[in-house]
Amino acid sequence: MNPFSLTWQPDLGLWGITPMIAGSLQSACLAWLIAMPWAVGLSAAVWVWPTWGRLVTLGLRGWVGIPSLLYGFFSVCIWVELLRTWGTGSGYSWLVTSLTLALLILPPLSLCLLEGWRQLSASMWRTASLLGYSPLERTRMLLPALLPSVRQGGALALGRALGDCMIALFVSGNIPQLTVNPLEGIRTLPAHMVLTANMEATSRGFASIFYGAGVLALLSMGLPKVCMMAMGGKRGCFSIPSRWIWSLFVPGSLGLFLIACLGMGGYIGYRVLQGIFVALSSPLPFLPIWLTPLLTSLWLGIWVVGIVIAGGIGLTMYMSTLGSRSIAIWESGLQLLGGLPSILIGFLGVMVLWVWHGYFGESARGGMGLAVVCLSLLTLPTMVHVLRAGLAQLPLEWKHTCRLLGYSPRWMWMKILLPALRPSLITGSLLVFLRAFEDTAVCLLTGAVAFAAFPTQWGEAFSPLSFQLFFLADQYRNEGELAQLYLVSGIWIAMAWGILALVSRFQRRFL
Amino acid sequence: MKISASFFWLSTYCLFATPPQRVSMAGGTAHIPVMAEAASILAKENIQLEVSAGGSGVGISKAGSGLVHIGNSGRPLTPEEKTRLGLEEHRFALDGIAIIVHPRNPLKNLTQKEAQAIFSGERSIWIPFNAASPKITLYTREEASGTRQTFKEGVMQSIPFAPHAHVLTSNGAMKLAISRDPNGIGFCSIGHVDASVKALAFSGVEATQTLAASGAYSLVRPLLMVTKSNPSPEVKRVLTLIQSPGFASHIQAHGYLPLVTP
Amino acid sequence: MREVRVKNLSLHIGQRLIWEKLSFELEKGGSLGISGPSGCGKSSLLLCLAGRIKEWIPTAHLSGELWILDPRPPQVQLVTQQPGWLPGTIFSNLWMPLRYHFGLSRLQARGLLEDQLRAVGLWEEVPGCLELAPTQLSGGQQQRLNLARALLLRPQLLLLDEPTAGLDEKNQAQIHEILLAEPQTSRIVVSHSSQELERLTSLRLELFPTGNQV
Repeated sequence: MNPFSLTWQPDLGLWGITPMIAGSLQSACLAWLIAMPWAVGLSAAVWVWPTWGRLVTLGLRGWVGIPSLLYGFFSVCIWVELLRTWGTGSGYSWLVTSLTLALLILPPLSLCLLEGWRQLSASMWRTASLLGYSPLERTRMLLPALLPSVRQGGALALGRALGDCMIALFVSGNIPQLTVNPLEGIRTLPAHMVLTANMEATSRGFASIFYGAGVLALLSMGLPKVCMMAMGGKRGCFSIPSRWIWSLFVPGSLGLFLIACLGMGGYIGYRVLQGIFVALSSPLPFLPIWLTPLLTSLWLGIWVVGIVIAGGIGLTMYMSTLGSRSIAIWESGLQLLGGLPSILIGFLGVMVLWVWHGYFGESARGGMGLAVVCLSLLTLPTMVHVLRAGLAQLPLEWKHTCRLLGYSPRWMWMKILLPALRPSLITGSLLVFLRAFEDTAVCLLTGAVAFAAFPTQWGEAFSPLSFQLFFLADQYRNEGELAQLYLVSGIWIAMAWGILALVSRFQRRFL
Repeated sequence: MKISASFFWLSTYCLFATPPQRVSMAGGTAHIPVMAEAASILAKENIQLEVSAGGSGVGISKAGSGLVHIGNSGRPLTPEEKTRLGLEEHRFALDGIAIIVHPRNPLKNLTQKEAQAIFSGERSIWIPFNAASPKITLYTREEASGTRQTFKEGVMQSIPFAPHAHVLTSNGAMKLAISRDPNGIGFCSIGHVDASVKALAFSGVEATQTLAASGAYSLVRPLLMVTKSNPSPEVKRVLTLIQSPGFASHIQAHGYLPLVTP
Repeated sequence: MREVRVKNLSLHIGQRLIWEKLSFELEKGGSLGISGPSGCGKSSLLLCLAGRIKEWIPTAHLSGELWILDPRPPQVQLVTQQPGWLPGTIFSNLWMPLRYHFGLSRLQARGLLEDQLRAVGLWEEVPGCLELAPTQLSGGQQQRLNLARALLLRPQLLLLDEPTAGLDEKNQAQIHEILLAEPQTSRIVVSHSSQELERLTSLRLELFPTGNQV
């Protein structure tokens, strides 16, 4: 059995995952190629036209809150239909996958580049304006200085596109084939892992998960680094662009973004309103299907936040006692963990189950306990990062004063530092809660099912909202059920926006 | 302080609370609508029936390794599975597999040879010898699916499926995809067929459940539940309910043929 | 009984030599004054005696012999030129160290705080000062508050860095009286004013940029 053969056809005994590797690379790279120039133009446009810029920033922050599951769902209803009607084939294709992934990574990438523009030294901006350049010209001249942000943001965006699971599951067609035609379907590694996770544990198909996970881990860690190095060397792609190209490019990016926002936002808003109308007027059962999953997801989120707060504080306290060498090691370890796609963390859960089953022979099903542990692992780096950033902002003299007064480190932490870190703790908790709530990939692999009751035991199956939506989006039977799905999506997005607004409020108060 | 105290009490409750009787099921996606009905009936008796998908293969293997109480399968157990995994069958319905296309598709009937040519990828356009004809979009199911297994045994036999077929993970998903794609062709359980798709006749025989029951329509499979021998009382209750005459009307309502007359 | 013993102490910060071969002894209850031009390392000497030099200046390097009877806080208190306040009110800034080192409750501490604040003259000057933030006081008031915090802990050795800089005559006299009223406490005072050092201390150490002279 050669896992790297070029064909996946179990009927013929061929278990090659190469098509999936190619699929992952193709979808991520094309998405990056679409999103990166767009983000550069968009972030420049925010600086050139500040009034539009405020609108754009608001729009970007709104987009960031939408979970990737909903990106996949909306994409099926919008882009796949469009491509099928106006193009050829079924619509499930490499092109739509990359387009949706590009829309997924555009907001965080643009926000990162905006920050990059902001951090350019004030003297550069002043010089450019003193030389009499128009705002558009100023951004054109200063573009090469944006390179560090581009490299960092671009690497993160590539990692995100590579590791995403939900979008590919919905719109790629899941066809295990090698192709160079963008209108044909593909299958990515994360989607493949989900599809084969349900196979019998001793079969060869199941074994392909391990190979897939290994390759995905290598790609997630290595490809962003390669991307960074490639961009660093080739200064040619970041010399000053020609004047007329730039003057078309920047407004074009802005215009495209506004069209996309209005178009998609309008369509989704219309559907959500339709959903509200249907839910209020028709006798379709709404609450029985959706209330328990909502409560389950809330419960899951609360537990994850509890564990991550404890773990995050402990780790931050420990790291503050270390020398700079050890701190660097821990930081790179946490960065590595934070860069892993959620599907791989879920896969760790699968390994745990597999080992447990092998050693104890008992019925090791997944369950909420395992999901909580995996999600805590997934979100721990975020909490530690937020806490350490908050710690770095506290005045250094506090520490000196505490030592002068003879306080022990424990006393200093409990009475002085932790109370001062409360805004960071709250911000971190909100971000962690949001992430745990929206996750689908980890839950898929650790025992989520549809229509389960509220979980009261750790080893029982559970139905988080994300999985319930995923399950029903696959097989709704009529317009009424589709409207229900849109309604739930609308409620979910509203909740995510609410939480993100709270986060920014706390950050402003803190800073 | 108050928050941590209530947290503590909540978790203790979670650890030691007595749940309702739980029976877990996994497997074929064709069973899901029927089992969801059974679940709502059983909820009144304080039995919680948890239904999850995965395909017939998954249902059998999970039941065999004790991960679920009941496995739902859309194909009979092999003798090897019966002895190695220690499972027993409980059949409750018959289901036919229909080849489905979009309602606007003019096709009405497929012979076995034609079906083999289409699903193996040999024939890739709808109208032969017509360069302007739209291409066929193939939809199939994942490997663990019992529906796929039955289709393979009844139609494809030793000919492999085309590698460029779209893979879907449930009957519902298949129906949804075909109902939206005018050039698509796939297969699903007859019970799932409704006005949004069109079922083709196979070798001249219409795809209806009555013809499937009489044996005239050849793509038929039993719907069954598999359990380990000597199931617990709650599991027995589930089995008895689903195989009871009183429940047969629910099975029929979903388009399957109950083995027990109502 | 000896409180402090220093022999051949030298301080380097990075490559620069600050002072070298410092030697002196201090008896219990004794007092030492340190004077010298600006930048010759007087404050650094106090930091060394408080054991904090490495924390404040990571590139510092101390060599020689330094012995203190009981070197840990609260027995040794350093009153810095710039007071460092922790977040919270004046009450919590003064009470927390008492709670930490002696386990006093709020109620028990209130009386002590009031006495000490009266002694430094802040109780009448700033009514209701316990509820204010330390940064709301003037520079001179903060200095006196800093001293009050140190004195509350009843240290054996008090290290004072320019305790009356920026204070008017009346306040200066007040501070001197408080310090002189504690004969059991050994003190080492750094000051520019020789008059002050005359009043407060019996021994004198004069630091020159490269040498020293007792």
